[in-house]
Order: sequence, then structure tokens, then C-alpha cells
Amino acid sequence: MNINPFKSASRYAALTGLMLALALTLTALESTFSAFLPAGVRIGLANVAVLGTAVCVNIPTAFLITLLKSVFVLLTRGVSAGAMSICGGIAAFSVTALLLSKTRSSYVMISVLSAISHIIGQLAMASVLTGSAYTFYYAPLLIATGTASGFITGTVSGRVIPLLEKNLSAHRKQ
Amino acid sequence: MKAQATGSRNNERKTLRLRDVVIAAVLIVLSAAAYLFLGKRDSGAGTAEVYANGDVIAKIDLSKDGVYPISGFDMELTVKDGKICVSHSDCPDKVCERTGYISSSYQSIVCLPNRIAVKIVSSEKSDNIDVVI
Repeated sequence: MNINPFKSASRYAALTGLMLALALTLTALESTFSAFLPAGVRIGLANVAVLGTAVCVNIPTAFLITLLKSVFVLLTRGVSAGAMSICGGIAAFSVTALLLSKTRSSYVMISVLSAISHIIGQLAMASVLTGSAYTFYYAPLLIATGTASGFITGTVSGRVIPLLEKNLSAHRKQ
Repeated sequence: MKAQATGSRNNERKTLRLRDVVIAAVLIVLSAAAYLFLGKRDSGAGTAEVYANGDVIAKIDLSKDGVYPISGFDMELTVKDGKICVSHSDCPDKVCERTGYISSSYQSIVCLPNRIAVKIVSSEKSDNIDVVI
């Protein structure tokens, strides 16, 4: 199975590695100041990298980045954090992929809806892990802040992604 | 041709539409309202139930101030003025500690690394329960 959309295989490998590194760096950067936010609230900057990959490379590669990012969480932060990451990541990826391929939604809308699905996916996994549905108590607060942060990451995406897309379009296979 | 069509579609995505702002605002208002509603709902001292892996392992009367260690875990709960918080946990992310005090039913504190959930149940149900861990 070849999911490389570019003429050159090395360009694809380098770009995919770069996007994964970007996703991980943004996550690390974010965790340095998430201590000042209410419990469990995150900005989700790494979504810019996943969305950017889906648009500028292709959707299967974005799925790959999502999975690898969760593997990294699993290795660094343990099994429960890894399980939550993968559950949230796949939910967010599915919504992003659907909106990108089927609709003309703006990056802001895609980011907001994928942030919310990320939260719901994570809370679902958290309920399974704790064996109780009480984790959903967090949902209203997380959805309110997730919508706001999705708005921010969507705006960032709208500025950054077109530049990357423009630079890469010449290298795509016809 | 196809690439061009996708390109123009992506170009459209850059612009923020009124619809986006409206949907985001509605989501924020609704969820913030739900959050405030749940937080306000029947507060007043009741009982806190401590769950480990989904089983109730302890019940704590919130009318008695004190510090309660959770047996089998390196965690500590503090009860003060009818409110309860996780005052100590050995978990790496400390989300449970940062949740702070909770005091009304429908509120909970979850510590994922330790698989612990603390939930408040309303006072009527808990008349004959008198602590203990």
C-alpha cells in the first residue's frame, strides 16, 4: 500500500517525520502552561499538525500521525494516558477526515468539532477505565473550553496550512 | 483538474464564516450553562463515595472535617466545610489534585492513573452512613 502523494519518497518520509515531531513538540510546549488551566483543560495545539498533515499530505498519513502520537503518549505517560490519547485521537481524526472530504467546512469549524470529539472520545475511555460514568461530569466545562481552544487552533490553521500547502503543491504526483 | 478543485475548496476553508462563530458561541454558552447548572445543583453536605476500578471502596461523611487516606493507594482526601478534595496523590498528572474541592452531587473527581473516582451522593440517600475508610 503506497500512501505517498508526492513524487519523491524521501520528501514524504521527511515531511511525515517533521509533522510528527511538530505534533509532539506542540504537545510538550502545551503541557508547560496547561498547569495554569483548570484540571484536564488543554489547548490541543497538536491538532494543527494533524489537520495540516491531512490537508497538505493526505488523510491516511494524518491517521498515521494520530496513532504514532498516541504511541508516544503511551511510552512517556503510561497506559491509561495512552488509551485516552488513542481514543480521543481516533475520534478527532474521524471527524476531521469526514469534514475535510465531504464538506466545505472552514478550518475553524473542523477544529472546533474535532476538539469536541476528542474530548468525548477521551471521556468515554476515562469512563471505561474508572468503571463509572461520572467522568462525564467534566464534559460541559471541557466542551466550553474545547470550543474556545478549537477556535484558536482553527484560526492558526487558517494562517499556517495555506502556506505549507502552496509550497508542497508543486511536488505532488499528477 | 481534481487537484485544482481540492485546492480551491481548501482555499475557502481559510475564511472564518459567520456560521462558525454562531455555532461556536452557541456551544460555549450551552456548555457553560450546563456546567454552572450542575455545579449549583443541590449542594449541601452529603456523602462522598470513593470508587476504585468501578467499585465503591469507601464512603465518607462530608459533615465531618478530616483527612482520609485511601487504603491501598498513595492518595489522601481532605474534607472541609462539607467539601472534599484530593489533597495528595502520587499520580504523575495531578489532575485530581487540581480539580480542587467539590461539594454538590453530579460533581466528581477522577484520578485516571490510579483509577480512582470520588463522587458525591445527595444527603437523603446517606442518612445511615457514617464514614469510614
